[in-house]
Amino acid sequence: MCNEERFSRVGVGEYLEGVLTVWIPARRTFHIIILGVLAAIVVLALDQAMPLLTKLRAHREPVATSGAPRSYDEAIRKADLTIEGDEEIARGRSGEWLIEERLANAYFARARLTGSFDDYAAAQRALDQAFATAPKGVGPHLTQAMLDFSLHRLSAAGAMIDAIDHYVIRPEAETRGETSAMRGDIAFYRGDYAKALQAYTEGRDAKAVESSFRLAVYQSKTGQGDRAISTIERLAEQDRFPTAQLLCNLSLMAGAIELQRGNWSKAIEYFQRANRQFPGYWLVEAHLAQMAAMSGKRQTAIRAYLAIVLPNERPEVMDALAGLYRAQGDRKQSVLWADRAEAVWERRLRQIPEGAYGHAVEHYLAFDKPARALELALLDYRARPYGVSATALAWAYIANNRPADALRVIDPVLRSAWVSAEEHIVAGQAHLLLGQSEAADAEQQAALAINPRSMDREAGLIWFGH
Amino acid sequence: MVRPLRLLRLLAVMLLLAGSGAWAHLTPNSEISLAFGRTKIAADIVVPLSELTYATNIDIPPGSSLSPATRAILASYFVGHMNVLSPDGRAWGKRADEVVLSNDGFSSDILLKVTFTPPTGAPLRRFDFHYSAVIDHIANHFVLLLVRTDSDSGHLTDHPQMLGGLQQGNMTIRIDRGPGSAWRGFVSAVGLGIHHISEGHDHLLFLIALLLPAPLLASGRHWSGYGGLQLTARKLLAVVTAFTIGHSMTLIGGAFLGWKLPTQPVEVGIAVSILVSASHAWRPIFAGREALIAGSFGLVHGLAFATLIGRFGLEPVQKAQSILGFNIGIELVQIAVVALVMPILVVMARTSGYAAFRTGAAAFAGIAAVAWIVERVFRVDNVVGRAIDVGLGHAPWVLTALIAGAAFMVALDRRQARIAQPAA
Repeated sequence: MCNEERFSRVGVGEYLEGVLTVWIPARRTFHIIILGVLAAIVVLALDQAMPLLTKLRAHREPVATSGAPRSYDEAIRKADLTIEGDEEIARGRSGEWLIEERLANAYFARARLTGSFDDYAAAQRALDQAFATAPKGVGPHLTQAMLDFSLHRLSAAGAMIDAIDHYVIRPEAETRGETSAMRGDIAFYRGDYAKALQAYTEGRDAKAVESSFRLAVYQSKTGQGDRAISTIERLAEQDRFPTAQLLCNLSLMAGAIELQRGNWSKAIEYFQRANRQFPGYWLVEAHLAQMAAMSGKRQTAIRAYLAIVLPNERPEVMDALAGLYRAQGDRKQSVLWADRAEAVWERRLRQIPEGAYGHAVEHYLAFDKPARALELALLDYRARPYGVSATALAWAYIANNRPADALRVIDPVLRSAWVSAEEHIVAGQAHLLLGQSEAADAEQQAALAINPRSMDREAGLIWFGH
Repeated sequence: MVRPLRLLRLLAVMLLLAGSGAWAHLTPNSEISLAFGRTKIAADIVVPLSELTYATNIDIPPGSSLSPATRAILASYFVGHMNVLSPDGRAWGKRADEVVLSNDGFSSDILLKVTFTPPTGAPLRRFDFHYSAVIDHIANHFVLLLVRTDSDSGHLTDHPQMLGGLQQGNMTIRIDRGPGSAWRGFVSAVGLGIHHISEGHDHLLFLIALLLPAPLLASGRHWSGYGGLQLTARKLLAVVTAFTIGHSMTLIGGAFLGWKLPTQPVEVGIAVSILVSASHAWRPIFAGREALIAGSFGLVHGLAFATLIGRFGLEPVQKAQSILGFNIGIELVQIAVVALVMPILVVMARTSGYAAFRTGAAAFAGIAAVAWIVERVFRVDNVVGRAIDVGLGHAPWVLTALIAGAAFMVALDRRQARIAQPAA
């Protein structure tokens, strides 16, 4: 019995050994193939899951902790009250330049919320009054410099900063830092990017530079999108008591950077964040409406744009609406809104010409008045000869059938530190119109390398955050 | 005097945000691409529907198909807005052959096919092209004029050649393509064939996977030893000839008889053909019938080639010439690949390491095929497919590695033989 069992075991063993001898190489091969396929599946899965993993690592959303208004409506109410109060004080204490400057700041703050040129003009009137009453050697120079800069009057802003440098009493270090940084801003908008960077970084604490919004702007416009976003995130995190409005603006800025490099879904996330941080802000709502239009939700976008423009006069939103109607082939509605926007732009051009050139160029380029667009683009370029205005001027030349001039204007931008898909698109279009296929292809590829969606048809609907 | 800086900081952020400004809202361009024949010119015109309706108020709801009446209106509108004139001022004949509405889910375009025929005795390659549709109403709309194909000047590629742009104030362009020649067209087609198969890694991988077991004898479900030069040469000739016959048949059928399948199943079929040949390289599944398989799958590969030739819109004589040139280009590359790879495989097949090499190479081809199948079915590229494309894009290095591998395998066998000799 026992021997039989052993015999039978040996028999089975021999049989198995025989089978294995035959099959082992085949199985090994089979295993290698299975492992290869498994490895491919793992790599594929990782490839697909990467966006999700990146999302999980995303930064925690910064929250406003200052006592400043938490919504646009609240901010406007507060601005209205401040202006009302400051007006009253100014009426009671006329002749005090500090009071007039305070009033100017109140108008300026509201203008930055509403975009209203009436508020800018009121701020300028108050500043004029302040300068008229200020003693020699002092005055609201810094506020005037900020206003000038905001209204694209770079030379006037520079003159104000020079005046601060010649104060009898030396300004405190923080102010000196600010004016020096503003010189960087002026250099930036004059197209001298190296000088701008030098002004932003020279003699400053490395940590302060790292979390500087100016550096973020510089980085975003010189092809360093990731670094710009990091700088913005750092800036939001390091502010001890950030206001809702500041956080909202930073989110808008981050969203614009993503938009400019074709990450539309990330841009939407940032714009939505901005909306949560400072709800009710028309500019954020316009960004979101634009993204809806680009996602194909055109009726939603039209409703959102109408909700912004019906109660208030916002020509840039009217332009976006007219552009959207045009993209639908609806000439009647497009012309209606473009005409309304044009009336506002023309009024603004009369009110504060330098402040309106750049935006009005956009309108005239989009809505078929190439000669007027060129006229304004030239004025804007003379005032601010930097990447954006050069690109707009190049487009204006193209619209006026002058592609060679467009290339002449855009060429220095292509060779500068400025990096944008638009400069390559305009160069590509100029080459196309001149019949230069290869050069056009090269420029289009360069544009796509910066922003893979820059040639998408939906990109023509971008009016905000570009 | 200076202000508290907290407010200034906020203002500065906003100022810099406002720093962005002018930007041209690119409206989609119209495009006219010309295919130069020997008796006529075929123009494909693409006009964004939104721009057309914006300019003309012709009511065409996006997404719907065009009614015969709308097609007639559009044909008349466009034909009335374009003119081709000979150098002596005579007008060419023009005919709208097709007007369709295309929609990609986001935007719609009007697609037109128009044929221009020169008057008797007028040169076909020199004329003034005038076009004013849409641009006569919209100043910032551009029309790009391109050459899609001009076989007789050697322009036979996927990349259209720009002639220039048309816009308000510049609605006429003078075109002079210079003298053309049939020979230039033929040479260009040969180049196209060479380029297409060199870039088309899938075609070559299919062929190479079929060649892997060519030097071997099949023994049941396994590949056994080296079968000798004569057998290898015979199998090789059969496979390459059958593949050539297969793809030539569908290439000719596709180009002249309109045989076609949608691109996606053809592309998936090509990837499946690699998977099948890779499986066969691992274990014989159609031993002795390789030529039949090569020919059958060659039919599928030919359909892909036909798609390429078909879209050039050539006239029959030019098409025949181009197919011949294209096929010669493909054959030249195939012969080059066989001439470079086969000697290495023959050397390797005589070594003991060939089974492992063959299995590894079959696995590589199989993985590539699976990655391409996934890519082509789901229309999303994946990292494996990308990596394989990059790898195969470095053919000289792959070849060098093969030569080095063959040398190593031979050396290893000789060493083992030397070690075994004293013991014997």
